[in-house]
Amino acid sequence: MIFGPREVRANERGIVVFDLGGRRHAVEAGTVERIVTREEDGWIRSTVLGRPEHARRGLVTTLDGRPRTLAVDEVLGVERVPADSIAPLPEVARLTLRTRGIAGLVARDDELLLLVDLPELIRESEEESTSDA
Amino acid sequence: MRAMRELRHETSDPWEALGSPDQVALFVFRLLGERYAVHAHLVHEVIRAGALTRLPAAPAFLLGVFNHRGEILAVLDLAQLLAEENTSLAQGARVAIVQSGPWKLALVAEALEGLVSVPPTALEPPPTSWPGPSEFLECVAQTKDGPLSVLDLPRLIEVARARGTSA
Repeated sequence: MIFGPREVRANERGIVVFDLGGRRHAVEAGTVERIVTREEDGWIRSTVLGRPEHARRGLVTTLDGRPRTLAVDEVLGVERVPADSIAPLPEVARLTLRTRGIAGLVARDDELLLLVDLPELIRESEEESTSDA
Repeated sequence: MRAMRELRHETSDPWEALGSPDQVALFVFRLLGERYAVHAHLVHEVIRAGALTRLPAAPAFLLGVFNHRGEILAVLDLAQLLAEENTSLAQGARVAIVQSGPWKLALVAEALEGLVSVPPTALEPPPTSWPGPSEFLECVAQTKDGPLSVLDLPRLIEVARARGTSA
C-alpha cells in the first residue's frame, strides 16, 4: 500500500494523482498496492478514461485475489487531502453514467478530479474485453 | 437570487409575481432558437459556471460537473434533451441552478433572459401541432412578445434520469 494505516489521519484521505491521456485523475491510495515502471503481466490500457499516450507508469491493485495493473502516463503525486474535499458524484450523474469506475470527485485547488474506483474500472474493462472477444 | 436580479426583466416588476396568487412567474431562456420557460420558483439562482469537469461514459445531455461554493452540481444541456442538439458552454457562461424535488442541478441554454409574470389566464394547454417533444411541454404562455413554451421541468429531469439509465 502507498500509505500505511498510521500515516493518514482520520480527517484525511490518501490519494494518488495521475495523468492519463492528458487529463489528471485521482485514485484512493488504499486501493493502489504499488506503482511500477516496468510492464510485466500485461497492463490494462483501455478503459472509459481513454488510453494512455506514453504508459510510463502502472498502478497495481488487487482484484479477485490477483494483481492487475492500469497503465497511466505519469504519476503526479501521492497526497493527503482533507476527507471533506472528496465528494460523491451528483445523483443525476451517479444514476446516468454508464460506468462503475468513477467513485466520486476530489476538489483540489481550482479543479475537480475524477476519483477513480480502480478495481471497478479494471473489472469493467476486462468485462468489455471479454464481451468483445 | 442576487444574480437573477441582474437579468433583464420583461415586465415592470416580475418579482412581485413570485408571491402573488394572481400572477404566474416564469423564468425565460432561449433554446433551439425559441423562447422557453420554467416556473420561476424552481430556479435558485443564475451564476457564471466555473470550470467544467467532463465525465466519462456520460449521456450526451450531461455536460459535466462543477464546484459551486463547495457543492458539486451536474450540468444538463436542455437542447440535447429536447432535440438532441448541442449547446456550447463557454467558461463563464451563465447557468441556471434549479431544484426539482430531490434534484438540484444546473441548466445550460443558449441565453438566459430572466423573469416574466403572466396572469393564470394567459396559460393555455400545449397545442397538438407543437413541433418539439410534447411530453416535456406543460403549457404555453401568451406574452406580449408572443407565445412562450413552458417546460415541465420535473418531468424533463425524470426522463433524463431514465434515459441515461436505460441507454
